[in-house]
Amino acid sequence: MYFKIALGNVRRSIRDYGVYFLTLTFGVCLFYVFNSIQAQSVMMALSETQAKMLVLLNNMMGIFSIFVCVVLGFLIVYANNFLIRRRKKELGLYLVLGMNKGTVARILMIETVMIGTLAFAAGLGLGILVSQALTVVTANLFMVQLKAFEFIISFNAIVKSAVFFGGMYLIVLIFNTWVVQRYKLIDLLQGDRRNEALKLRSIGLSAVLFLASLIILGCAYALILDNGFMMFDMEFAASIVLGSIGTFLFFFSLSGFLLKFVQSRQSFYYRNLNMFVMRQLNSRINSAFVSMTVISIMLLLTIGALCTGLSFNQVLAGDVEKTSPYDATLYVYDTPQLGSSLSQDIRDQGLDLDGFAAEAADLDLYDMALKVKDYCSAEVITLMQNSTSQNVGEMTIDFLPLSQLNTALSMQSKPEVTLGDNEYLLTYSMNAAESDILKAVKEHRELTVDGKQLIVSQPALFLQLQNFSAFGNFLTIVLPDSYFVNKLPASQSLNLNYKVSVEEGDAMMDDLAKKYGQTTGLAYNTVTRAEMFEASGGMKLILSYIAVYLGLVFLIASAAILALQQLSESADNVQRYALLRKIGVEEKMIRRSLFIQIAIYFLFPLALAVVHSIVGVSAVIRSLVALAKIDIGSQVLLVGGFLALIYGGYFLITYTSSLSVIRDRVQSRRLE
Amino acid sequence: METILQVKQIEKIYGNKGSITRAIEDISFQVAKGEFVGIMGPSGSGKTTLLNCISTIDNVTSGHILIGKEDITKMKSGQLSKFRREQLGFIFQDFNLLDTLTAYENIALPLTIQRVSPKKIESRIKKLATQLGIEEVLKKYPYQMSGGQQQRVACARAMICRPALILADEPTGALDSKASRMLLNSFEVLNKSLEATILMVTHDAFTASFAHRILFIKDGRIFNELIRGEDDRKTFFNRIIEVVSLLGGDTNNVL
Repeated sequence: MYFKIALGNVRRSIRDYGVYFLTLTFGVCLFYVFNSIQAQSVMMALSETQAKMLVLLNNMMGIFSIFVCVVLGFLIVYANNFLIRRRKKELGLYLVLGMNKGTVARILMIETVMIGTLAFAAGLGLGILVSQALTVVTANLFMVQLKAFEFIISFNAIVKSAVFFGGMYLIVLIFNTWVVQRYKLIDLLQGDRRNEALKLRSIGLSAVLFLASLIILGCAYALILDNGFMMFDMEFAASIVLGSIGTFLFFFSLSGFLLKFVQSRQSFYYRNLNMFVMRQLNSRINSAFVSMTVISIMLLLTIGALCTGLSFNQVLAGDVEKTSPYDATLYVYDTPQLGSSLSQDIRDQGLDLDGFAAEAADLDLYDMALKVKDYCSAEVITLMQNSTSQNVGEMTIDFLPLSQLNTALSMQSKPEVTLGDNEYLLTYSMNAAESDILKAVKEHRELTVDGKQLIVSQPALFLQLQNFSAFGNFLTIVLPDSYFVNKLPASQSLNLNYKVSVEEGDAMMDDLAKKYGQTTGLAYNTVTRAEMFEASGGMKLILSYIAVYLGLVFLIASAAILALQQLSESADNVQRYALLRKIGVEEKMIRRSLFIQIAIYFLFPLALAVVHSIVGVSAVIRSLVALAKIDIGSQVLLVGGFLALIYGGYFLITYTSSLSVIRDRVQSRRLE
Repeated sequence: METILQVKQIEKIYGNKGSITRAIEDISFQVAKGEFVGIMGPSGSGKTTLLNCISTIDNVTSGHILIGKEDITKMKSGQLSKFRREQLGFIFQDFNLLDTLTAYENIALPLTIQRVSPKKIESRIKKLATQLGIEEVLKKYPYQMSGGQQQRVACARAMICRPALILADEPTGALDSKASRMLLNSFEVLNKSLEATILMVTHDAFTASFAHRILFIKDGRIFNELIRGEDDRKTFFNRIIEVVSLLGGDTNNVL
């Protein structure tokens, strides 16, 4: 019988539950999709590195899923609290009819479980479909072929979802029971009387607080721009704390300030329903500012996660062809005092370097005791300092013999260069020192090496000298070979291009390096282009997926909270709208006022979040600019698309259902 | 004298094939300009339905209602809003003030939706507030006012557009006797000095005794009509009580 009551309730309040149901479904769907990536990968032909990347991704998803669960858990508790508040009178009626609180809690429990089970099933169904599509995307990012398309259902992910969501429901059930026990009958029965006392703050104070919040936010912005997200120090902490306080104060005082402002424009205030709209906002924002703050911060996280997560891609995985210009690079550490070149030493060990390498060119970097601070400007050093913990100014600049530069250039199919005896040349592949380099070339800056004056006369070369995971040539100075006679290099490496296939070459390279390391006892590392491709694909995948996962969860959570709040508010306002109709306000005007109210609730947190993220993202980009040029245009479009689709969707649903809430109730009232 | 309201043989039927409720069977009457008419009747007699039909919130099943010279039963919904806005003023039992607005703003609301300029709004509200004795509460919110004050603010809101007809639904229903008396005095002010035409539904004989003429409704028909004429209020009250007791003890007086 209780089941019947519960079922009836769910049916009747389908409109209230609609947004809740939809959000839960999305939540489950996302949870399943991102936890089933590994299971989906069986249909892809993955290399060892890629398989490892997927395991890493899966583990990361597991960790972030806990976080996601906490967010969704809060959302569910919040939504339930709202739904119960809307139904106080009904619950009160049950108690008057002689049910005990335990039974009422049980009816609520059955309802929650019913909705939850339905949403879980719908979410899983949707998730299973979406995860098939995601597999194609995964394969694309990994740049691998699908072996054969299979329809895969990950039982692991289903069980995981069931456990997480089951746990969440348990918490909600306990919470509901507690809430019901706490209410007094009289409060329940009179529940639809004014829910919250109107606490009106001094409007003057609001205006002062509003200005204060702007100042505090300004300080927070200045701090974070200075910090650039690079050091998690006091400055960073202060910026976060100030930013949160500023956001809170902003919403705390916003409506009061707006009211004051609009009231001062009498001809606007006393026109149509403007006065009504402003007062509505002001009456509710007193209790809504906390949630608006939370929503604004969640939206900031959404935008931040999506924008920076996707921008990092460009830095880490930019263009593998350019960051790894050779098939392989062999680095040797600790001992540059070989006496001979690295390639010669390898051949001397009797290793078959020429068996697979078409080209093998030594790249020796020399230390000429020229410190960075003696050649570069303070700005460049500061910029560079953002991305390393070493003292950049005290580091020395690398020097490269002209003949090795030319070999490297020819291996990269670029024209060779010639230098006069008293000429030097600048090369770089990082952006950090670009401004300095261009300036040095322009003013033909002089340089003294071994007591001889050299001058830069040719344009600087943009050149990646060795295979690396990113652009790694900060500044390398090229001198004629004569300057290097009888000097030992500071570091040695060997760049190779294969004459065999990439797979064979990589295997033989690996084998050769191992043997060389064993016989000489030197620490070594090989960086092959194929491996960089895979790693960059993997990193791209991990970062994008985490960004999208977290971003979407935050987005639906904040949109759902707003939607529920506005729906319940519309229901509370039915009487007010009925009155407006009676005194002859036209439908069109009522619709407009409702639209404006909901739009303000949706737009203000978003607007502030967008401002926050513009500052935050530009701080991040300023730090990353030392590593690579970043074009966030496409990310902005993508994030804008997500926002418009999901946030906008929730907004429209909220508006249309609110409209039908206030319309229906009025019509049914008429029939009473 | 000019006729403001003409109700012609209206009928209101609720429900569908299965169950039909005749809320109003056949009612006709007229209200002249400047009249203060009361409508009385027991619960379920159809008086609120009648008021809803006149106020254009509900529509009649058959018959005609003319306010001024316009037949409201033939209007479309867009015209109805405009008509309500310009020709009718409402006073409700539970005041129905917007609790988020100050008294001043509540009274201003009907004017703002007609785009009257803020200056004109101010002067009109000041004048009316003085007449109704609510100047002091203009800056207050409804929850800061007494019930009587709230109802007088509601009167001011109903009157601010100088409507042809004021419709009051149990205006004293939520007030104590002292506040009721003050409100009804305000009605007399509206009626006498502002020449408002008032149609008031009530089941309270004391409240009804302030009217000039009373229509008694029972089971959807007009059952009796009392005209105050030269009687003082007390005599009129006693006459009302007589009719009410007749209405109540209806076993002996089958209509």
